[in-house]
Amino acid sequence: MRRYSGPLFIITIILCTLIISACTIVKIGEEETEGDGEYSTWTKTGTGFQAREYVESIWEDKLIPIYEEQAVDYVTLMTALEENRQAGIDQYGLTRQTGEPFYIFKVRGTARVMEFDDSSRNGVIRVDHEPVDGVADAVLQVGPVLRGTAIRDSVEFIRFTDIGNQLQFAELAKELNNRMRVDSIDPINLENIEGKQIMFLGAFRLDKDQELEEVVVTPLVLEIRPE
Amino acid sequence: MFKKLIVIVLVLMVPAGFLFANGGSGAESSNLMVIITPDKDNTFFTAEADAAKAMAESLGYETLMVVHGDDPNAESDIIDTAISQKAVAIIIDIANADASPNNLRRATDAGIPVFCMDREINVAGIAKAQLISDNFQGAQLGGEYFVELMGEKGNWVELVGKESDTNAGVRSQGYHSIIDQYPDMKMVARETANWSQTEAFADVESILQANPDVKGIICGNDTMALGAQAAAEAAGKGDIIVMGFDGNDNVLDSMLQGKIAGTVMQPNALNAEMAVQLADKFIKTGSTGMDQEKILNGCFLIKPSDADKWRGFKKL
Repeated sequence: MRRYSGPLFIITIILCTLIISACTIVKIGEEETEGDGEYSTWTKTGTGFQAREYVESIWEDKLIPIYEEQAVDYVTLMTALEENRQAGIDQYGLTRQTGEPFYIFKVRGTARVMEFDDSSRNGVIRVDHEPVDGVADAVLQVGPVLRGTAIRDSVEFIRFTDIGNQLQFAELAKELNNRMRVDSIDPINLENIEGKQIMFLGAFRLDKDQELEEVVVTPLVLEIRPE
Repeated sequence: MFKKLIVIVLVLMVPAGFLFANGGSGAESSNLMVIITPDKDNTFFTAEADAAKAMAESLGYETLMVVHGDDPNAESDIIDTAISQKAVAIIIDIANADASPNNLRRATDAGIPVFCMDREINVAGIAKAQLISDNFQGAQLGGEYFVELMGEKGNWVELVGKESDTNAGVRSQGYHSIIDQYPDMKMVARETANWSQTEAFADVESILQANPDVKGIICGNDTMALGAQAAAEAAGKGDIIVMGFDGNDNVLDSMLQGKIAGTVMQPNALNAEMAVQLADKFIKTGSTGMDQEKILNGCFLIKPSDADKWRGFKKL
């Protein structure tokens, strides 16, 4: 920690004494112990927010049940958004106020995999929902690089202010994505997924001016259905 | 040392002038918002200060504009001034995440509500509200675009901001959280250029001599991006992909000229305006009306095709 050096200290003291009689110098190095009182910290234990443990505690008990209850059929949702974007958002979306608002949708679908595209490390599958017409109508990211924070932002009970700071909030998004990969992607053989029928629960973020064609779903649960 | 001394003397002169002018006592019914920002030279911070000032004045407040120069001691002195002036609110972009909470606590103990913008503090219950740009999310957007422009492979360089500024570390981690997932992206140099255009120029000049095959440079802010791009151009390597962060007007102009490849727009003016609006609401009603202290405002990726749609950190 910085401390006043000699001449600087003296000059500062003189100025403070002469000019601001009420001025008090607070040593920066002085650590105040955080009590349980008015000024609680986000990191009460001193070890900080533990993202992985938190994900462990919510995944089965809170997160998946909310998706099972609230996820809307993908085709129904996209049809609604195409017909009347604002009405679709109001009916099915969760609006996140962050300067410019964005919207998060929890979705479910049953579809056939048309293509597994791993030309980017952010690999995706393109799928065709029932009724199958041979044209891909949704994109799901399957990694290994997983982008975005859709899972984290998809439920109201996860709030930035409760988690702490930006790093912890970001860590949480990463851990949620990781958990999804371990539970839902790793067990699947992507190399022969083309042609298979899948069932998924997932989420996507839609920005204010974003085209519906640019939507990429982050799965939460992804299963191959037996033929 | 001399520079530090100047900063402290200057900061002390501000309260001195005020005290002499007002005879040493704050008015009983003060209408003063004290608006504290880090720096007078960086357009990012001047835009933030200007946005806060304009909003405060439009709501009928007097303003006192002060900078702390990233010095917690200077910040401490400014807080004392605000207390002695019986300010109705303090709007601040803090000096240091570790030291500032204690400074701010003195203000709240004296009954002055504090509203943070831009940089966050990690102690709950001091600020009435914190309006924060989502630097990590912004850095991830920048990192993703950088990777895309690089074709997911090649040698790259990172220029990091001032170490004492939390956001320098947050952005760097945001970049790495994306880029490090691509094994063919090879970081050949990582230097701090302290948010400075001239330091960035010098750093990149020497980095390019040692590493002639650099394909991209990602920077923690826009001023460093301007320095990096100029150095690349001077070395005859104007095609190096340079990414910035902030969204300042000079970089937007550079993008329109086909030089800098992209930047991340911070909702800087919005944070400042919202901080003042929430302060005003708190002064009038005793509550900000928000259900959370920390309010995270998202950043936007700006590609060259969008560079003419923003000015002064605002969407046109």
